[in-house]
This record gives sequence, structure tokens and C-alpha cells, in this order.
Amino acid sequence: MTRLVDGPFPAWMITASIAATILTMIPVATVGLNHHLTMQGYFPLMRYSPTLRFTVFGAMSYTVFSVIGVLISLRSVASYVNFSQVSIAYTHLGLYAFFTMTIFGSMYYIVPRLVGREWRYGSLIKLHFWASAYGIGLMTLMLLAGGFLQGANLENPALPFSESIETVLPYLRGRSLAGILLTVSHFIFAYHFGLMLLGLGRTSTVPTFLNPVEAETSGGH
Amino acid sequence: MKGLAPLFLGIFGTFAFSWIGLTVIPTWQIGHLNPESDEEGTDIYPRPQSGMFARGEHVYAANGCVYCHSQQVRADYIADDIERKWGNRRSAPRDYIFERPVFLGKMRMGQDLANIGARAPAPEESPAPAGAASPAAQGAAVSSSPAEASRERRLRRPSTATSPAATVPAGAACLAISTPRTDGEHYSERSSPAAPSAQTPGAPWPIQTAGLPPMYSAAWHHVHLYAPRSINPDSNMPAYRFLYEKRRIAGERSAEALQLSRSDAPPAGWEVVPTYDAKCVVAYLMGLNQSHPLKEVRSVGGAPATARAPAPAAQGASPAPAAAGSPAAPKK
Repeated sequence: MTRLVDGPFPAWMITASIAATILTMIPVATVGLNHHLTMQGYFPLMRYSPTLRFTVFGAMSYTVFSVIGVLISLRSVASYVNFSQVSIAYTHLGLYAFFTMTIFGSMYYIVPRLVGREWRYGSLIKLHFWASAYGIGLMTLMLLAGGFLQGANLENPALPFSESIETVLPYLRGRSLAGILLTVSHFIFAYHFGLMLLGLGRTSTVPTFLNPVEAETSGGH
Repeated sequence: MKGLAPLFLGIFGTFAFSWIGLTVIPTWQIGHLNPESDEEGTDIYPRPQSGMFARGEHVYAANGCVYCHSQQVRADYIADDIERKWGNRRSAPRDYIFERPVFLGKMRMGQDLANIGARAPAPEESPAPAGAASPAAQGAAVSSSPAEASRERRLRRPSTATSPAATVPAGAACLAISTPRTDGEHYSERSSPAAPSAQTPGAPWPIQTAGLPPMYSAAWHHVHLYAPRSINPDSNMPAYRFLYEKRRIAGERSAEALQLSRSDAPPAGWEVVPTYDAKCVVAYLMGLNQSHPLKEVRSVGGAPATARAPAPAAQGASPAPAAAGSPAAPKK
């Protein structure tokens, strides 16, 4: 119901849904705290472990996603952002920044164990991570910023409707840029994954680290 | 395992609770709404729509219109939907009882369409709509066949707008919606800067660029669907040309042929005519109309201040106070 605040429904349904959304803060805080305390002291390992990089990014995005979900469901905010790009940003945060990134991380862990080879290029993993991270970060920022401006213009009856569209268009171009970054990252991953499927991964007892030299000196993980 | 029963019961209870709250009670409250009528049992709203409307709904879905257009008007104390002339009252569950699925929408990269049909000009002035409405049906206050209902509804409402609105209080509530000039101002502003300001209520239709059909008429919708940029140069709507057929004129030019201008116009000897799907989607758009008052929702005179004066008289048709808990009385 978050997206339908003030829609044609009995008000109690919307109010109950908003209250429920706010209550989701309890499990979200629990999960976030759990993740954070688990990672505490181990954050430097993100320099080496591909899996950790992706999953920590995903776990943090989950908290951001949930907090934004609560914010945009509040009536006063929703009246501005209801029909703007903000809801798209919210969806992307949940589906990509949280879910997809976590699954990427899991694949970096699972696939070597399934095919019996290690990932071939640490550099490709790095490239994949940064292209995805910057891509989804840029996309979310663009959609959030553009969406808030669009919503503010929509709620300003002094401005013609077309103004709200023209406001958001530059942000949508920025979003296209982010989309290109994501596409690049997907192709990199697909290529790397293909190599693994073809059995072209490294035969090694040591997993592929991102910064192998540093990993060795610090004892690896 | 110890504590398995409480765990299971807890999970079951949680889901049962939300199922009751989000499914059972809403179904019980608004799942079986019926159309409303006045004391004599006439003036029924909403009415079942025509077959073309139903098919148009599918075309609307197939072309993803819902991704950019919403169909819901929010209350005046929440948002400025009504001030934007997207409706003269907020949408209520009852408005949608004959629509499956309901395209509420969650994006406004295009205008809200909940009342797009209500903005159509009076039928006398519009060229024969593709929905094949005949002006003869206008007098009929009650039409029995569902097929006729949408037509009749479409025709009845603009007829209040044709009369000089300022002197007809009854029309005031509908006025906001029947005089779409301010709503479409960015269109007229851009395409014809010289056009007079559209603020005068009851001004004769159309205020529009020469060479284009009256705004929001069926013919206008066809031109807009075929070539959005020919009407508003900045429009970001895709052109739905595949809903139209370009063909050689055989004998006489078809009455349905689109009045296209400049680069969109077909070469001499050719014409662009709507396919059946195009006619249906326009019939659907013309049928979207929530301007009829509902008892549970307050209709506001969203019209400009000048037209506001006679509004109280018009409110007789739509009693303002609504029972607590009904959609009209949300606790803010």
C-alpha cells in the first residue's frame, strides 16, 4: 500500500499500512545490527574477498531501502513523491542494490565450489563490482533527486504539468548513464561466468582474491 | 523440538492477522459496492461500459499506458490534483466497480486520465467520435442497454457545459472538469502562444490551434495518439502509429481519416485511418469520467474563483458530509 497512499481506498487501510511499514523498522534494525556486529573487525577483509564486498554492499542497501520505504510512505512525503520517479528509485534499491548485489556475492562464493575451479580474473571481479556499485548508486541518486523535484513541481499548481516532466528529464538521462554502467558490469560478469562454465577457471587451492599481494601479506582469508 | 507449537502458531497468527486485515475486511467493506442512484432510481452511476470500452481497456494495458498515466484523483486537502483540473472530486472505490483490472497507476510522466473523458468538448462540436456516439442519444436521460450507457454518460455530461456555465449553477460542480482549458494550458500555450487565455469559464469551445480538432475530442485523441508532437512539441509520449492504417484513398476520403498537419500528414492521395483497436482505446479514454457526484465523496468546485460562487447550489446533488470510516472521511 506504500505506493497507493491517498488513493481511492478507505483511509483506515492506508493508515494501517503506513503503521505496518513503520513497524518494519524493528526487524530491519535487528537485521542491520546483526550484520554490522558480525562484520565488526572484519571490514578490512572486504579488500580481498569478492563475496564479502558484494554482500556487505547488499546488506547495507537493505537498510537504506527499508528506511527510504518508511519515509516515502508517510502521508506528508507521499503526497509529493507518490507519482514521481522516487518509487522507481525505491524499487531499484530493493531489487538491485540489495537483492541482485547479494546474489552476485553469493555466486562468487558458490560457482567455484560447483565447477571446481576458481574465478579466473580478480580484475574482472573488481571491475564488475565497481561498475555495479557506481551504476546502482548513480541510478538511485538520480531517480531520488529527480523524483523529489518532479514531485515538488507536480504539487505546485502554479506550474504547468509539463514543467514537472521537463524537470526530471535531465535526471533520467543521468539514469541512462547509470544503466549503461550496469549493462557493462553485467557483460563483464556474464563473460567471467561463461569462462567458469567452460571450465576455464583457475585450478588452484586458493580462492581468487581481489588484491592478492596484500592478501598474502595479511595472511589471506 | 520444544517451542515448535508456539512458533508455528505465531507465524500462522501473523499471516492470518494480515490476511484478515488486508483481504477479508476490505472485501467486506468495499468488495461488493453497487452503483448509486438518486431517489427516483434514475441517474445511476457508475454504469457498465460498452464493449468498445472493454476492448480499449485491453489496448490500454497492452501498450503500457499505465506506466506513465495514473487514473486516480486525490483529495483536495492532500494534493493539488483537483486544482490541476484532473477531477472535481477525489476518486472513490465505487468509481472503479466496472473496471477489471483497475489502472490506478503510480507514475505521472503523463497527465492523470481519471477524467479524460469528462474533458471532451460537447458532442455537437466534435466530429463524429470513433466511439460512434450519436447526438440523438443526448436527450435520453436513461438508457437501458449497457452498450449505450457509456455513450449516454459521455454525452450527458458535456451538455451541462455547453450552456453558459456562469448562469447555470447546476453545472458549476462539473464545470471544473468540463472546461479543460487550464488543464491543457501547456498544450495551447506552446502550440499557439496567441491563443486567448483559457480562464473564462463557459467560453465557447474550442480554444485551440487552427487545423487541430477540438482538444480531448475523439478526433483529437486520434491525432494525439498518432503524432503526439504535432499537438505538443515537447510531448514525451510515444507515437502509437501502429494503431493506425495508412492507405490509398479509394474514391472518397474516409470520414474517419485523421486531420494531420505538416510532416505527419500522409502524401496526397493517401489517408490515415484508425484501426478498430485505436477506436476502442479512444472509446475507452472518452469513457473515463468520474465527474458524476457520489454520496460518499465531496465534490468540490475546483473551478476558478469566478465560477466558485454558484457552487453551493450545485452541492445539493452531492451532500458533503460522509460517514466516518468511509473513503471521504480519512483521518489526516
